[in-house]
Amino acid sequence: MNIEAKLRRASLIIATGLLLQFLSLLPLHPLAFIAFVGVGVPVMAVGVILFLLSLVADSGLPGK
Amino acid sequence: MPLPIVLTLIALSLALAVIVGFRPNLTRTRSGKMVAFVALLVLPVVATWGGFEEHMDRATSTQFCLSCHVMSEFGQSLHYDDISYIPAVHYQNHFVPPDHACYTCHTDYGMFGTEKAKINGLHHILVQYFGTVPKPENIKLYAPFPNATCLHCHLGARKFEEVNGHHKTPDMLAKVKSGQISCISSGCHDTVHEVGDLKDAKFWSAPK
Repeated sequence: MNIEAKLRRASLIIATGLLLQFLSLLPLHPLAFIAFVGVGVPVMAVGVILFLLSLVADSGLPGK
Repeated sequence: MPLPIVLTLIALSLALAVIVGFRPNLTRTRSGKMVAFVALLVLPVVATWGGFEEHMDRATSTQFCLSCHVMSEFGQSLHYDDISYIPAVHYQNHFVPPDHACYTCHTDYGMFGTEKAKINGLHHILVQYFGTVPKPENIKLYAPFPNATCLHCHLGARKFEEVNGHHKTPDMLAKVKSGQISCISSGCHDTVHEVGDLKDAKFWSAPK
């Protein structure tokens, strides 16, 4: 998988996590808190980790 | 961080992540790399922190606590039209902030009070959805209500220090302050939520 594909994957995972976080902030309910902490944050964190791994796994971003 | 700012931050972060996701070739330029770094690391982390703070803050609200069905009767008990009910008199007279009434009295003020309350709250959610929810009248505190929670506000207040009831014996006030005599379970202030009384009770509601 090239760096651009890795970036695409990481970006879309982060976007999914952020979307879940956004939606969880709309209702005032304990389940919204669980959705934020239990789903939104981990998904976003996985995306960020994949982004960072894509940086260290490759010699550099595209164009180098 | 106010909610509109948190939502805007998350939406902005989301939009940038989507843009980078569909146009990863943007990162071929130096400025594109910087945008990707901000969009995929800095903004999501800041937005998530803002969202977490918002969730933690709203979890202290009375509305949040009463959003579970089993708690609704405890919410009703805050409206008893009878000053002998301790939670009602505190709520109706704003001795506790009405918007944060449950949290003010049911979170201890120690270093990890908020964390303990959160862990207990998670346990409540598990019971609500995966366990057997007890009847409201069977819900009890995990531990006897600590005097420290009462003293957090009342200690040093003239009414608390000088009221005759606290000087029935020479050392009574000292024992209350040290926790040797419980404010609630000693029988002096033991009329609390009493959800079993709801059927026959009169209620007070705040003027609109």
